[in-house]
Amino acid sequence: MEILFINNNGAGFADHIQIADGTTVEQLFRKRVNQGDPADYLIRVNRQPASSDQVLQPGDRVSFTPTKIEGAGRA
Amino acid sequence: MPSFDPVFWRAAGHLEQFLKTRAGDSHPVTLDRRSFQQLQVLTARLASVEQRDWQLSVQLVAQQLHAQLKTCECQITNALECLTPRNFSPAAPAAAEIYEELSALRDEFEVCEVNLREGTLSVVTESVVLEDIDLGSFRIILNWKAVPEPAGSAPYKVEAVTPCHPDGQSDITHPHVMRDRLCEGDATCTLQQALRAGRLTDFFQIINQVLHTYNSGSPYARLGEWDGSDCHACGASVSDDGSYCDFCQSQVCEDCSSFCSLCDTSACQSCLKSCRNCDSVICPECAEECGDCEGVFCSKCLNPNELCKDCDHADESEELESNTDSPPEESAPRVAVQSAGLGQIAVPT
Repeated sequence: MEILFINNNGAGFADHIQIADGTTVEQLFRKRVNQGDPADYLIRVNRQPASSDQVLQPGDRVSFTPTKIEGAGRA
Repeated sequence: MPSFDPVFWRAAGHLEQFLKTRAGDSHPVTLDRRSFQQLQVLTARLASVEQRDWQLSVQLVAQQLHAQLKTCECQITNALECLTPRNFSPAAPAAAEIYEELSALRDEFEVCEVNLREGTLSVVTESVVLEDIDLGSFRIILNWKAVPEPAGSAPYKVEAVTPCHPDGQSDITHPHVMRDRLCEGDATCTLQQALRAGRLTDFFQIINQVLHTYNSGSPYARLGEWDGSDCHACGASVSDDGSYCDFCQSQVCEDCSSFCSLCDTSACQSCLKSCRNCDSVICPECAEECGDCEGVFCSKCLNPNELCKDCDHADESEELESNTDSPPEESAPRVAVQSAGLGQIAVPT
C-alpha cells in the first residue's frame, strides 16, 4: 500500500512510499530513521499525534519531526 | 469534528495564492555564493592556526568550519533534491488542504491566530527554557502580505513575547534569533520544503523545535550571556531567582543585598542604613533620626527622648555649662558702697 511519508529530518522532502500491509508507526520509524529514538521525534499520522503501535492505512500521511534541530548564528 | 471556521477558510484562500506566487517566483536551486566563499576562508584560517600550533584557535575555527560545512551541505542537499523531477513543479496546495493544516495548527499550539487585515498567521510557543535559562515564549508570525527582507528569505519572523536579552545586546532575544530573524541552521532546507508544500503545521513546528534547541557551536550570543537582569546597585548580572529589595523592589545581587539587623527584612544597599552609633545594618522602617543632629540610628541607640548619645551628652553638658556660666545671684560681684568718708574701695571691672 502507498502512504505519504514526510521526513522533517535533513532535507525535509515528502515522498509517496510503498509499505507492507499492517505496518505500524514504530516499524516505519525503525525502517526510515537510522539509529533514531522515537522519543526524539514528533510523530504525526494525518496531522494527529500517533501511538507507536498504530497500524498505518493506505493513503495515510505520516510525518517525523525531530524535537532537536540546531539553529545557528554567526558563521 | 471541529466546527467550520470562516476566518481560517478565508486565510486558507489567501495562503493558497501566496504559496502559488512563491512557487512560481523562486527557482528551486539556490546556492549562496557567500557561504562557499566563507568555507574557503575558514579552511585557509584553520590551516594557518594549525601551522602555528595555536590550539585554542584551532578548536574555535574548526567549530566555525564545521558549522559552515553543514550550511553548505544543506544547500547542496537541497539543490540535489530540487533537481529530481518530482520537485520541479511542486503543486501548490489547494485551499482545502491549507484549511486542514490551519485546523491542525490550532491543535498543536495553544495560541494560533489569523489576522486577515495584516495578512498574518501566528502561533505562540510554550516558554523556551535552554539549559535552565528561561527565554520566555515566542510568537512565530508568517506574513503572506509583506515582502520578505532580505529578498528570498522566508516571510516570517520570530518575536519574543517577553523579550529577555543577553547583557548589552538588545537585538538578540534567543541564541539563534537576532532582530526577530531566526538563523535556521540545520532547519533551512526543511523549512523551505515545508512552506513550499504548504505544510504549515510542519513549518511552525520545525521553527518551534529550533527555538527549543541550543547549538552551542554557533549562537548569536552564548547562553552564559543570559545571566538575567542587571543588579540595580552594581550593574552585575543577576539570575532570575536573585533577591528583590522589599522597599524599592529592585532586583539586586547577593553582594548588594542584606538583612535588617532588627527585623530581618531583605533590602538593597541603597535602601539599608547604618546606625551611626553601633554600625548595625537597619532597614528604612527600623531607622530613626536623632531629634537633634538628625543622624540615622537604630532604636537601641536613641534614648526615650529620641536623642542619640552624643546629643544627649551635649545637652547635659550644655546644661551644666550654662549652670556654670550663670552663677547664682548671691555670688555676683558686689560693689560695696560705703558711707562717705570711710575711705576708698576697689570697684571690680
